[in-house]
Amino acid sequence: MLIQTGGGLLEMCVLAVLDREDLYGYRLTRQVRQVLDVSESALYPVLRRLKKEGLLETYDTEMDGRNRRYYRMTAAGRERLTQYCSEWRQLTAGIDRILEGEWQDDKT
Amino acid sequence: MTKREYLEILEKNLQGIGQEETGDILDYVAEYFDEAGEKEALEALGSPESCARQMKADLVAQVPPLPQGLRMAGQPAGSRSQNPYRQDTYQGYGEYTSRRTGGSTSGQPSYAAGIRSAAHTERRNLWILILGILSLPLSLPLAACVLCLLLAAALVILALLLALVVICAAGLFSTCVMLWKMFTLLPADPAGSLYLLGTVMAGLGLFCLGTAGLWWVFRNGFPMLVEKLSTLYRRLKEKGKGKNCA
Repeated sequence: MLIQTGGGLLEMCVLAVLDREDLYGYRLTRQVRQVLDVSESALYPVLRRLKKEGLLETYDTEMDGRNRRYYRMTAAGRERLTQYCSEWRQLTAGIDRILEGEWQDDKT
Repeated sequence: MTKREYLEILEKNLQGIGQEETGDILDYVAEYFDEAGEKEALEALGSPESCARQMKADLVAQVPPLPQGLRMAGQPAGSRSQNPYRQDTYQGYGEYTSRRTGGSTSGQPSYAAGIRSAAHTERRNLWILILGILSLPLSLPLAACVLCLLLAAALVILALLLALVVICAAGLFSTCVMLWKMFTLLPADPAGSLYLLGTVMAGLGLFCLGTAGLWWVFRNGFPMLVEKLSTLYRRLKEKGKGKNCA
């Protein structure tokens, strides 16, 4: 993938995936990895960071005798996602305009 | 590699980031192995060494992991103060830095430990360098010795080959001489010339064998030697690399 999918983009995707339902690590990262070319070990720091910032919280459930750590979005996380969404729309709309050659300098 | 082996190597490579973080990462990876199965997990996580490096990436990094908002370059400057996200971001950042600066004593021991581990590696590398310089008087003659030995081995092989060539040439020459003698001696001493015929035949046979041997050496022996040497070189290089990583 030519376009770098750094911190912000990954955070946004993780939050968006968790907006629909709580998920455990494997399913969560698999959903993200279906769209973005990112390694599993690069996603874990994102989860940790989001948790530390209080945007996510975790809870454990027992499943077939093993533990599954679920990730759930907090209210702060939901707020952050809304901000991400609006910024993303702005950004992509602007980039689309450049790509389609409709971009014009404000000064001219 | 099994899950257990993977986790063991991972744990070894996670040293220096604090027990709690290490435990969290190991739990996460173990859970991933359980869910995905060994094959898929290995594909997704990569080698335990690189996995550890990435997992603790922002624990050791010098730059604080800011929430990187996707900012528009073309956004008018006036809207900056009205944008609630921007304020939010900076508040978050301030909080983060204060947490970090106070963290070395109480808040985030794992972060400080991460930094310490980085400094530790640096110091170790320095010591290795100093050790290398100090051992120069010993290692330099040793290296010269090894070089001389290698050169001697190459010379011996070349000399052997040269000897083989000379023997072949001498054999050919003497065979020719004896052939000539055989014809000149035939009227005077038929028995002697018959004896010479036998010798000539034997010489020709030896010559054929010798050429075949030489041919084999040039055809197969040399490429084999080169291949062996290159694998040896590669193995030495890998070993050196492994030592650097550990």
